[in-house]
Amino acid sequence: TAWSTFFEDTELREKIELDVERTYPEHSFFSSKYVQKHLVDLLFIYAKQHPLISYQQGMNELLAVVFLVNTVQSTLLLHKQEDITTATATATATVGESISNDSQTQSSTQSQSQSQLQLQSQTQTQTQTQTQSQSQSQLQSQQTQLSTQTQIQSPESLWEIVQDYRFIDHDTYWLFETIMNSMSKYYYNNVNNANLNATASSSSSSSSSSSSSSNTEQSKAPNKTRSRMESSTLPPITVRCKNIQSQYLRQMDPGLSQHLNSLNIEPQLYMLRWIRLFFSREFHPRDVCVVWDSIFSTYCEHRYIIVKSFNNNNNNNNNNNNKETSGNTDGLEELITANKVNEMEKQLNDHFKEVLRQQLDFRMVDYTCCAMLLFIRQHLINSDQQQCLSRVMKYPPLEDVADIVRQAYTIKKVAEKPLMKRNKKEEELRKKERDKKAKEKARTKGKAKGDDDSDTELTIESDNDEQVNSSNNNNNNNNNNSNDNDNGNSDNQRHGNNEHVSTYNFSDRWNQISRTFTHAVNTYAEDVRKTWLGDLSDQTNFHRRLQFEHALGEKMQEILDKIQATIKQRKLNEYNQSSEDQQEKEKEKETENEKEGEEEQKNKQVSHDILSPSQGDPLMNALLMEGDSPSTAPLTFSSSSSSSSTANTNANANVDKSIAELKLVKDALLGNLDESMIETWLDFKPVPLDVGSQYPNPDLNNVRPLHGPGGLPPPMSSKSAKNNASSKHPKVHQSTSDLLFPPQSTSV
Amino acid sequence: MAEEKINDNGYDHLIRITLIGDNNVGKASILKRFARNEWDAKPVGTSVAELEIKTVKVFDKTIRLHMWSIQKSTSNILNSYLRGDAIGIVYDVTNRDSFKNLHIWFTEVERYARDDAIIVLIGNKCDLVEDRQVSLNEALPYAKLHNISHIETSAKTGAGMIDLFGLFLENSVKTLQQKQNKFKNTINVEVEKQNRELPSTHAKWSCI
Repeated sequence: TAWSTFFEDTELREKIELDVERTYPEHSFFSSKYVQKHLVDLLFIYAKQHPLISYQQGMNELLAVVFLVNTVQSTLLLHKQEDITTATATATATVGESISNDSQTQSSTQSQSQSQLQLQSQTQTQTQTQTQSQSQSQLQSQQTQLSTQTQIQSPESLWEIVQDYRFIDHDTYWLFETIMNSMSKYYYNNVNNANLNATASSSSSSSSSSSSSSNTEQSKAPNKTRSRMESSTLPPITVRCKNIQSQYLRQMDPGLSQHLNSLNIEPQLYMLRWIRLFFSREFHPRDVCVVWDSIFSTYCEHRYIIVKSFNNNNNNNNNNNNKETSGNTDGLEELITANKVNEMEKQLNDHFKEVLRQQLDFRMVDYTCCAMLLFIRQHLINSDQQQCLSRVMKYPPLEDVADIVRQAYTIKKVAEKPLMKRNKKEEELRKKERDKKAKEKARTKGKAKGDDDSDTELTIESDNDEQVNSSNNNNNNNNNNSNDNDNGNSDNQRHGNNEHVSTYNFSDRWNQISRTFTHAVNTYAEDVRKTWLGDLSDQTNFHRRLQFEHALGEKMQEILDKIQATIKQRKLNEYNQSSEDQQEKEKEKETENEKEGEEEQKNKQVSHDILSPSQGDPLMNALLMEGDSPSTAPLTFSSSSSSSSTANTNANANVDKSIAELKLVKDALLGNLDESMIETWLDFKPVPLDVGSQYPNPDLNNVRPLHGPGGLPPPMSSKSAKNNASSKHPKVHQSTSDLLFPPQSTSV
Repeated sequence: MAEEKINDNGYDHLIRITLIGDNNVGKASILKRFARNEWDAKPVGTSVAELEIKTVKVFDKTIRLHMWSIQKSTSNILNSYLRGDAIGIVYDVTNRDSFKNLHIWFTEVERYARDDAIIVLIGNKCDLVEDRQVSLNEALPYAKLHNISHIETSAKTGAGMIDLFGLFLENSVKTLQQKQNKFKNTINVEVEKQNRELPSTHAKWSCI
């Protein structure tokens, strides 16, 4: 009933509030009421959208870090704006009037968090005196809004769109949801417990079924099988922890693994916290960001590997049924965007889906866990059980977290070698041309995640290069080159690692993931509120709007990918011009450092060998070049405009066009344009929304539909119900926590 | 698990105490007060589990305490920790819900705990007299029903701490020594004779 859901929601909210208050109490940023309210809202919405997981302790910690990073990033942008704003100050006066009240209130709160952030993010902010009055920063943020609309032509303006401070909440939510898609099963497990099930909500019918099965098992063999039953129904988190300690760690350091096992230390005891919270409790927040950086960068890479192997699968199937799968591979060859990946994921069969889920599990977390254990090896190996326990439960403070990240990368390399090899073999079986094309496209996709901060992305690049180079090599030279290749790769890898850990510019990458769906979340939150108030009469409208915004987000991503492709093309052109100069430079390097020079030369030769058959293909060249010449200056729009080659002007035109499109999308998101016009441009067709597919739990049949009975609080079946509800609620409140009055009667 | 002294670990026995209960009832605070004599007005919420270690002297034996506070949502993963020597089920006297939820924890304990484990019902935050929602008159019969001891504590003021951990220590040492006797009965009768008599009244124990 409406009342029971209402009480459940209030209870849930109180529970969340309790935990949010205790999140990072030592940081002033999180003790502000503004931040706390936003965190509670986000967690509440997540809990309502994913009723099977609901809210679990620990989520607040994850969300807090995501939120902090997003806020820092957006605030940094505001500071960058100061230079530009002096120029556009006159224009602001006119536009400032037209800005709605809503944004003004938001900007004032923004300035609050801004001042608090200054204390937090001294490592990241440039030296800025924080003596701005509130009105000043308010004006400033208005100017930011203005400049996002006017100065679209510079590359920074892309960031303004992505980093718009108004969408911090939406960015945060989307990132959080993406993380939770992989992580939720580690939070979910406790509902399986038969005892706790009594208090669990009725929505978790899947858990009750599983618990009943365990009960029957128990009744069959009451005493002896208790331990066996536990082992058979091990929650995924336990499996994973054990896997880390007994597999990865044994691979790296058999002695330590043996030692821990012999001491009977259960890995889930300490690792559960590491994994669930992504180490956010183990390190200083600044270090946490570095670790997360490595986790998310490899996440994309894994995704890419999976898609590739899926493509192989499809090719195998192609021999049998041509028609069905050919469409897929053709689509892949056109361009692998994230959309395509998603489409393909939907078409995966069950078995492959399972594999996918395992693969997308933030493997880097496992490696980092392992690296952390290795790091304190000296402490562990010489101590008894209780010393070990207290050591891992209270991880010692670190001087430089980079050591651990570096270690994690080496573990990753060792652990994933078999995977890579398998991939190579599969690729060799395929046709050469298709192979090259697919790789090249996939590469653009892998690159798409980190083009803007190409300097920090070197780790991913080098990893991918490893694949591309080596497999191409195999094609050309029939497997004999593997030794040379390994040398070059290891050099690449080492170099990439150093680059990676030395730059802490992690949040750029996140925000590249987060650029879509922001507004959609906002509308959802609003509509939830409206449903509470009874304003939303037509729910199909809501559906449509949500999907419309999803489509817009996808379009936006497409455009951004296109831009990145053009940038790559231009990079290639510049390279062709300056390649001779670079060779000279390398000779100079040789005198300085013989070994490195040789290796680079080798790489160069290899890449030229590969280049020769496909000279005409610019993208391919670009891909191969980047790994070899990380020293090329980072590309900026201004430098390209000065260069006179025709290809560059073409590229410029392309970028301008894409940016114009981007602007259109942005306007559409903000609701400034006629929707019907955009819909034709997008090819937008509303489809009935299926919430269940978003949730990774295997038992999809029992997921509550978003608008089904008991879905949104409170259910609005008829007008009379609405009237009843409104009569019971004499006042209309924004947040449920304000509703403190007791019910007169419980409706059934 | 209770362990005999094998090497020079600096202690004779290891006793594992686990505190369970609803969120925000003050499990970790109790441990912190006892182990380090500290108290936080705004504690960090426990994620998954927390461990405090303290060494005490009971009779002439050095005893190391491993004290765990287990988070609610992870109790089933960490259920092996309910097989320790002592379990404290904590509720908040200013929070009626935490008292109502006790039955969940009792089923949990009945399912996983050892037969000889010492179980104590702990009502925390007893210093907040005005906000009190659960009276002693309710709690005592409840504890009697389950046949366990009941103690009210306050992590803030430190009230009841000595009683609580004295109870834990006394009983667990008793069971330890009983076990020892049994064990030695089967191995060697002579050693048993050398064993001390168990003191029946309040044990003298002190923190190191």
